[in-house]
Amino acid sequence: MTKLEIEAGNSSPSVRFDPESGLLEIGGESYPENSKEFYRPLIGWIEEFLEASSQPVTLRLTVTYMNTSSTKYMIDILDRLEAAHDEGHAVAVEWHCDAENGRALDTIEELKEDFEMPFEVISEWREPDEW
Amino acid sequence: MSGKKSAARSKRKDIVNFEDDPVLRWSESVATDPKYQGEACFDHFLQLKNHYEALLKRFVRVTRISDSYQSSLKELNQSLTEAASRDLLTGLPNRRAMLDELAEQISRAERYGEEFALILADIDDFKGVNDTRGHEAGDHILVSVARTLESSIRREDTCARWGGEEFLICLPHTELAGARAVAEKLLEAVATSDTTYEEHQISTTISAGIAVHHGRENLDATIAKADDAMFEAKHQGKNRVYVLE
Repeated sequence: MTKLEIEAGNSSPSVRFDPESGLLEIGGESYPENSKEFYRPLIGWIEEFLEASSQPVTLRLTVTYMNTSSTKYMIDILDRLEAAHDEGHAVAVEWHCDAENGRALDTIEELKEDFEMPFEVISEWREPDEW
Repeated sequence: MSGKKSAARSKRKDIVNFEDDPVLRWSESVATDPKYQGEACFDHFLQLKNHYEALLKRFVRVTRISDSYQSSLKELNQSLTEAASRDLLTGLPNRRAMLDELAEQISRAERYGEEFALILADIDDFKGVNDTRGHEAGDHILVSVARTLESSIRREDTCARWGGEEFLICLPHTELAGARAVAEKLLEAVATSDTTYEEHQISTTISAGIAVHHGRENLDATIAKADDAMFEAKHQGKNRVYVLE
Protein backbone atom coordinates (compact mmCIF):
# COMPACT_ATOMS: atom_id res chain seq x y z
CA MET A 1 0.00 0.00 0.00
CA THR A 2 1.18 3.48 -0.75
CA LYS A 3 0.98 6.57 1.37
CA LEU A 4 -2.00 8.83 0.82
CA GLU A 5 -0.97 12.46 1.03
CA ILE A 6 -3.16 15.40 0.11
CA GLU A 7 -2.11 18.99 0.70
CA ALA A 8 -4.69 21.23 2.34
CA GLY A 9 -6.73 23.07 -0.28
CA ASN A 10 -8.79 26.20 -0.09
CA SER A 11 -11.66 24.38 1.52
CA SER A 12 -10.33 20.87 1.99
CA PRO A 13 -8.23 19.48 4.84
CA SER A 14 -4.72 18.05 4.65
CA VAL A 15 -4.57 14.26 4.64
CA ARG A 16 -1.62 12.08 5.62
CA PHE A 17 -2.29 8.35 5.72
CA ASP A 18 0.88 6.35 6.36
CA PRO A 19 0.60 2.56 6.00
CA GLU A 20 4.04 2.06 7.60
CA SER A 21 3.19 3.66 10.93
CA GLY A 22 -0.57 3.19 10.74
CA LEU A 23 -1.03 6.89 11.51
CA LEU A 24 -3.96 8.48 9.67
CA GLU A 25 -4.09 12.26 9.97
CA ILE A 26 -6.73 14.69 8.79
CA GLY A 27 -6.23 18.33 9.70
CA GLY A 28 -7.34 21.86 8.90
CA GLU A 29 -10.62 23.10 7.52
CA SER A 30 -13.07 20.87 5.72
CA TYR A 31 -15.87 22.31 3.64
CA PRO A 32 -15.14 20.95 0.16
CA GLU A 33 -17.53 21.78 -2.63
CA ASN A 34 -18.14 18.09 -3.12
CA SER A 35 -17.39 16.25 0.10
CA LYS A 36 -18.36 12.89 -1.37
CA GLU A 37 -15.71 13.26 -4.06
CA PHE A 38 -13.17 14.23 -1.41
CA TYR A 39 -13.95 11.65 1.28
CA ARG A 40 -14.85 8.58 -0.78
CA PRO A 41 -11.20 7.85 -1.75
CA LEU A 42 -10.16 8.33 1.89
CA ILE A 43 -12.70 5.79 3.06
CA GLY A 44 -11.66 3.47 0.21
CA TRP A 45 -8.01 3.73 1.28
CA ILE A 46 -8.89 2.99 4.91
CA GLU A 47 -11.01 -0.04 3.97
CA GLU A 48 -8.27 -1.42 1.78
CA PHE A 49 -5.65 -0.82 4.46
CA LEU A 50 -7.69 -2.49 7.20
CA GLU A 51 -8.19 -5.44 4.88
CA ALA A 52 -4.53 -5.77 3.91
CA SER A 53 -2.70 -5.01 7.13
CA SER A 54 -2.90 -5.89 10.80
CA GLN A 55 -0.78 -2.84 11.69
CA PRO A 56 -2.33 -0.92 14.64
CA VAL A 57 -4.12 2.19 13.41
CA THR A 58 -4.33 5.65 14.96
CA LEU A 59 -6.68 8.21 13.49
CA ARG A 60 -5.64 11.72 14.47
CA LEU A 61 -8.15 14.45 13.67
CA THR A 62 -6.99 18.04 14.00
CA VAL A 63 -9.85 19.55 12.07
CA THR A 64 -10.55 23.14 13.03
CA TYR A 65 -13.73 23.60 11.05
CA MET A 66 -15.95 21.25 9.12
CA ASN A 67 -19.29 21.53 7.43
CA THR A 68 -22.17 19.15 7.88
CA SER A 69 -21.40 16.73 5.05
CA SER A 70 -17.74 16.50 6.13
CA THR A 71 -18.97 15.65 9.63
CA LYS A 72 -21.08 12.88 8.15
CA TYR A 73 -17.99 11.38 6.44
CA MET A 74 -15.89 11.76 9.60
CA ILE A 75 -18.45 9.60 11.39
CA ASP A 76 -18.43 7.14 8.47
CA ILE A 77 -14.67 6.81 8.96
CA LEU A 78 -15.15 6.28 12.70
CA ASP A 79 -17.72 3.59 11.96
CA ARG A 80 -15.25 1.75 9.69
CA LEU A 81 -12.63 1.87 12.43
CA GLU A 82 -15.12 0.73 15.07
CA ALA A 83 -16.01 -2.26 12.86
CA ALA A 84 -12.28 -3.10 12.57
CA HIS A 85 -11.95 -2.77 16.34
CA ASP A 86 -14.86 -5.22 16.76
CA GLU A 87 -12.91 -7.69 14.62
CA GLY A 88 -9.86 -7.41 16.86
CA HIS A 89 -7.86 -4.79 14.95
CA ALA A 90 -5.89 -2.43 17.21
CA VAL A 91 -7.48 0.96 16.60
CA ALA A 92 -7.27 4.31 18.37
CA VAL A 93 -8.81 7.70 17.72
CA GLU A 94 -7.51 11.11 18.79
CA TRP A 95 -9.88 13.99 18.15
CA HIS A 96 -8.19 17.33 18.80
CA CYS A 97 -10.42 20.30 19.62
CA ASP A 98 -9.83 23.96 20.24
CA ALA A 99 -9.93 24.38 24.02
CA GLU A 100 -11.93 27.57 23.55
CA ASN A 101 -14.68 25.79 21.69
CA GLY A 102 -16.42 24.27 24.68
CA ARG A 103 -19.45 23.28 22.68
CA ALA A 104 -17.43 21.20 20.20
CA LEU A 105 -15.57 19.56 23.08
CA ASP A 106 -18.87 18.57 24.68
CA THR A 107 -20.36 17.17 21.48
CA ILE A 108 -17.21 15.14 20.67
CA GLU A 109 -17.15 13.82 24.23
CA GLU A 110 -20.74 12.72 23.71
CA LEU A 111 -19.89 11.13 20.36
CA LYS A 112 -17.07 9.19 22.01
CA GLU A 113 -19.63 7.42 24.20
CA ASP A 114 -21.07 5.75 21.08
CA PHE A 115 -17.84 3.87 20.40
CA GLU A 116 -16.11 0.96 22.08
CA MET A 117 -12.68 1.60 20.54
CA PRO A 118 -10.09 3.74 22.38
CA PHE A 119 -11.17 7.32 21.71
CA GLU A 120 -9.36 10.32 23.15
CA VAL A 121 -10.71 13.86 23.03
CA ILE A 122 -7.79 16.26 23.28
CA SER A 123 -8.39 19.87 24.13
CA GLU A 124 -5.68 22.22 22.92
CA TRP A 125 -4.90 25.90 23.26
CA ARG A 126 -3.72 27.31 20.00
CA GLU A 127 -3.17 30.70 18.51
CA PRO A 128 -5.91 31.51 15.99
CA ASP A 129 -3.46 31.36 13.04
CA GLU A 130 -2.33 27.87 14.00
CA TRP A 131 -5.82 26.52 13.56
CA MET B 1 -32.14 2.92 -8.02
CA SER B 2 -32.43 3.75 -11.69
CA GLY B 3 -29.36 4.83 -13.63
CA LYS B 4 -31.01 8.11 -14.48
CA LYS B 5 -31.66 8.95 -10.87
CA SER B 6 -28.16 8.17 -9.71
CA ALA B 7 -26.70 10.23 -12.52
CA ALA B 8 -28.83 13.16 -11.44
CA ARG B 9 -27.67 12.66 -7.86
CA SER B 10 -24.00 12.52 -8.67
CA LYS B 11 -24.33 15.79 -10.56
CA ARG B 12 -25.50 17.51 -7.42
CA LYS B 13 -22.65 18.93 -5.48
CA ASP B 14 -21.95 18.56 -1.81
CA ILE B 15 -24.40 15.80 -1.16
CA VAL B 16 -23.79 12.77 1.01
CA ASN B 17 -23.96 9.32 -0.56
CA PHE B 18 -27.00 7.09 -0.27
CA GLU B 19 -26.02 4.40 -2.74
CA ASP B 20 -24.91 1.94 -0.11
CA ASP B 21 -28.02 2.46 1.98
CA PRO B 22 -29.67 -0.99 2.36
CA VAL B 23 -33.16 0.46 2.60
CA LEU B 24 -32.83 2.17 -0.73
CA ARG B 25 -31.49 -1.07 -2.22
CA TRP B 26 -34.51 -3.00 -0.99
CA SER B 27 -37.10 -0.37 -1.51
CA GLU B 28 -38.05 -1.22 -5.05
CA SER B 29 -38.23 -4.96 -4.50
CA VAL B 30 -40.10 -4.65 -1.20
CA ALA B 31 -43.25 -3.47 -2.94
CA THR B 32 -43.40 -6.29 -5.47
CA ASP B 33 -41.41 -9.29 -4.27
CA PRO B 34 -43.71 -12.01 -2.77
CA LYS B 35 -41.13 -12.80 -0.10
CA TYR B 36 -41.81 -9.40 1.46
CA GLN B 37 -45.59 -9.81 1.46
CA GLY B 38 -47.86 -11.02 4.31
CA GLU B 39 -46.27 -12.32 7.54
CA ALA B 40 -42.74 -11.95 6.17
CA CYS B 41 -43.27 -8.23 6.21
CA PHE B 42 -42.89 -8.02 10.00
CA ASP B 43 -39.23 -9.01 9.95
CA HIS B 44 -38.50 -6.45 7.37
CA PHE B 45 -40.53 -3.88 9.17
CA LEU B 46 -38.38 -4.41 12.28
CA GLN B 47 -35.19 -4.18 10.24
CA LEU B 48 -36.49 -1.04 8.67
CA LYS B 49 -37.36 0.42 12.05
CA ASN B 50 -33.88 -0.36 13.43
CA HIS B 51 -32.30 1.10 10.38
CA TYR B 52 -34.44 4.20 10.69
CA GLU B 53 -33.53 4.60 14.36
CA ALA B 54 -29.83 4.27 13.59
CA LEU B 55 -30.17 6.87 10.85
CA LEU B 56 -31.97 9.25 13.17
CA LYS B 57 -29.26 8.84 15.78
CA ARG B 58 -26.63 9.51 13.12
CA PHE B 59 -28.51 12.57 11.97
CA VAL B 60 -28.64 13.99 15.49
CA ARG B 61 -24.89 13.37 15.99
CA VAL B 62 -23.90 14.97 12.73
CA THR B 63 -26.13 17.96 13.34
CA ARG B 64 -24.85 18.59 16.84
CA ILE B 65 -21.20 18.34 15.88
CA SER B 66 -21.75 20.49 12.85
CA ASP B 67 -23.65 23.08 14.90
CA SER B 68 -20.85 23.26 17.43
CA TYR B 69 -18.24 23.97 14.74
CA GLN B 70 -20.49 26.53 13.11
CA SER B 71 -21.20 28.33 16.37
CA SER B 72 -17.50 28.69 17.08
CA LEU B 73 -17.03 30.12 13.60
CA LYS B 74 -19.81 32.58 14.30
CA GLU B 75 -18.17 33.65 17.56
CA LEU B 76 -14.85 34.13 15.81
CA ASN B 77 -16.58 36.18 13.15
CA GLN B 78 -18.19 38.37 15.78
CA SER B 79 -14.94 38.97 17.61
CA LEU B 80 -13.23 39.87 14.31
CA THR B 81 -15.99 42.34 13.45
CA GLU B 82 -15.69 43.77 16.93
CA ALA B 83 -11.89 44.03 16.65
CA ALA B 84 -12.13 45.68 13.23
CA SER B 85 -14.37 48.43 14.56
CA ARG B 86 -12.39 49.33 17.70
CA ASP B 87 -9.42 51.58 18.22
CA LEU B 88 -6.72 49.36 19.67
CA LEU B 89 -5.35 51.86 22.19
CA THR B 90 -8.48 53.46 23.61
CA GLY B 91 -11.06 50.77 22.89
CA LEU B 92 -13.35 53.44 21.41
CA PRO B 93 -15.07 52.88 18.05
CA ASN B 94 -12.53 53.69 15.33
CA ARG B 95 -12.91 55.95 12.31
CA ARG B 96 -14.40 53.16 10.23
CA ALA B 97 -17.05 52.35 12.87
CA MET B 98 -17.88 56.06 13.12
CA LEU B 99 -18.32 56.28 9.34
CA ASP B 100 -20.85 53.42 9.61
CA GLU B 101 -22.65 55.24 12.40
CA LEU B 102 -22.66 58.48 10.38
CA ALA B 103 -24.05 56.68 7.33
CA GLU B 104 -26.94 55.51 9.49
CA GLN B 105 -27.50 58.99 10.91
CA ILE B 106 -27.49 60.45 7.40
CA SER B 107 -30.10 58.05 6.15
CA ARG B 108 -32.29 58.93 9.15
CA ALA B 109 -31.66 62.62 8.59
CA GLU B 110 -32.69 62.28 4.94
CA ARG B 111 -35.70 60.11 5.58
CA TYR B 112 -37.21 61.93 8.54
CA GLY B 113 -35.75 65.40 8.00
CA GLU B 114 -33.93 65.06 11.30
CA GLU B 115 -30.69 66.71 12.28
CA PHE B 116 -27.67 65.47 14.17
CA ALA B 117 -24.69 67.28 15.62
CA LEU B 118 -20.98 66.54 15.46
CA ILE B 119 -18.42 67.60 18.01
CA LEU B 120 -14.81 67.37 16.92
CA ALA B 121 -12.61 67.46 20.01
CA ASP B 122 -8.83 67.70 19.92
CA ILE B 123 -6.48 67.43 22.89
CA ASP B 124 -4.67 70.72 23.47
CA ASP B 125 -0.86 70.77 23.30
CA PHE B 126 -0.72 67.03 22.86
CA LYS B 127 2.51 67.14 20.89
CA GLY B 128 4.12 68.81 23.92
CA VAL B 129 3.17 65.85 26.12
CA ASN B 130 4.71 63.39 23.68
CA ASP B 131 7.86 65.52 23.30
CA THR B 132 8.49 66.21 26.97
CA ARG B 133 7.06 63.13 28.70
CA GLY B 134 7.37 60.51 25.98
CA HIS B 135 4.92 58.51 23.90
CA GLU B 136 3.83 56.33 26.78
CA ALA B 137 2.65 59.43 28.64
CA GLY B 138 0.89 60.52 25.43
CA ASP B 139 -0.87 57.16 25.17
CA HIS B 140 -1.87 57.43 28.83
CA ILE B 141 -3.47 60.83 28.16
CA LEU B 142 -5.28 59.51 25.08
CA VAL B 143 -6.77 56.65 27.05
CA SER B 144 -7.66 58.90 29.95
CA VAL B 145 -9.43 61.46 27.72
CA ALA B 146 -11.21 58.65 25.88
CA ARG B 147 -12.57 57.30 29.17
CA THR B 148 -13.69 60.76 30.28
CA LEU B 149 -15.45 61.54 26.99
CA GLU B 150 -17.05 58.13 26.87
CA SER B 151 -18.48 58.46 30.37
CA SER B 152 -19.67 62.03 29.82
CA ILE B 153 -21.76 61.56 26.66
CA ARG B 154 -25.37 60.43 26.58
CA ARG B 155 -26.33 56.85 25.95
CA GLU B 156 -27.43 57.52 22.36
CA ASP B 157 -24.25 59.43 21.44
CA THR B 158 -21.17 57.83 19.89
CA CYS B 159 -17.61 58.88 20.62
CA ALA B 160 -14.91 57.62 18.27
CA ARG B 161 -11.18 58.08 17.98
CA TRP B 162 -11.12 59.98 14.73
CA GLY B 163 -7.39 60.59 14.27
CA GLY B 164 -4.19 60.99 16.33
CA GLU B 165 -5.50 63.07 19.25
CA GLU B 166 -8.87 63.85 17.71
CA PHE B 167 -12.20 62.49 18.86
CA LEU B 168 -15.43 62.78 16.93
CA ILE B 169 -18.70 62.67 18.83
CA CYS B 170 -21.98 62.11 17.03
CA LEU B 171 -25.14 63.36 18.76
CA PRO B 172 -28.35 62.06 17.15
CA HIS B 173 -31.49 64.29 17.14
CA THR B 174 -29.52 67.18 18.52
CA GLU B 175 -29.66 70.82 17.52
CA LEU B 176 -26.98 73.44 18.12
CA ALA B 177 -27.92 74.48 21.67
CA GLY B 178 -28.01 70.87 22.84
CA ALA B 179 -24.66 70.10 21.18
CA ARG B 180 -23.11 73.18 22.76
CA ALA B 181 -24.28 72.04 26.20
CA VAL B 182 -22.78 68.58 25.67
CA ALA B 183 -19.51 70.06 24.39
CA GLU B 184 -19.20 72.41 27.38
CA LYS B 185 -19.78 69.44 29.66
CA LEU B 186 -17.06 67.43 27.88
CA LEU B 187 -14.57 70.29 28.19
CA GLU B 188 -15.27 70.63 31.89
CA ALA B 189 -15.03 66.87 32.44
CA VAL B 190 -11.64 66.61 30.70
CA ALA B 191 -10.20 69.72 32.38
CA THR B 192 -11.12 68.44 35.84
CA SER B 193 -10.20 64.78 35.26
CA ASP B 194 -7.16 63.23 36.86
CA THR B 195 -4.47 62.86 34.20
CA THR B 196 -1.53 62.10 36.45
CA TYR B 197 1.18 60.03 34.79
CA GLU B 198 4.05 58.61 36.85
CA GLU B 199 3.39 61.17 39.57
CA HIS B 200 3.41 64.07 37.11
CA GLN B 201 0.20 66.03 36.90
CA ILE B 202 -0.21 66.62 33.17
CA SER B 203 -2.70 69.41 32.67
CA THR B 204 -5.08 68.26 29.93
CA THR B 205 -7.75 70.20 28.08
CA ILE B 206 -9.56 69.87 24.77
CA SER B 207 -10.80 72.27 22.14
CA ALA B 208 -14.05 71.48 20.39
CA GLY B 209 -15.75 72.51 17.18
CA ILE B 210 -19.44 71.90 16.58
CA ALA B 211 -21.40 71.47 13.36
CA VAL B 212 -25.01 70.46 12.88
CA HIS B 213 -25.96 68.27 9.92
CA HIS B 214 -29.37 68.92 8.37
CA GLY B 215 -31.34 66.77 5.93
CA ARG B 216 -29.51 66.32 2.64
CA GLU B 217 -26.33 68.23 3.37
CA ASN B 218 -22.97 66.76 2.45
CA LEU B 219 -21.32 64.86 5.31
CA ASP B 220 -17.76 65.86 4.36
CA ALA B 221 -18.84 69.47 4.44
CA THR B 222 -20.32 69.05 7.94
CA ILE B 223 -17.16 67.35 9.21
CA ALA B 224 -15.02 70.07 7.61
CA LYS B 225 -17.17 72.68 9.34
CA ALA B 226 -16.64 71.02 12.73
CA ASP B 227 -12.92 70.82 11.94
CA ASP B 228 -12.70 74.51 11.03
CA ALA B 229 -14.62 75.40 14.20
CA MET B 230 -12.23 73.30 16.29
CA PHE B 231 -9.22 75.12 14.78
CA GLU B 232 -10.89 78.42 15.53
CA ALA B 233 -11.33 77.28 19.16
CA LYS B 234 -7.58 76.55 19.29
CA HIS B 235 -6.83 79.89 17.67
CA GLN B 236 -8.90 81.71 20.27
CA GLY B 237 -6.88 80.25 23.11
CA LYS B 238 -7.84 76.53 23.43
CA ASN B 239 -9.98 74.81 26.08
CA ARG B 240 -13.10 76.24 24.49
CA VAL B 241 -16.01 75.43 22.22
CA TYR B 242 -16.50 77.19 18.93
CA VAL B 243 -19.29 77.17 16.35
CA LEU B 244 -18.88 78.65 12.87
CA GLU B 245 -21.83 80.90 12.02
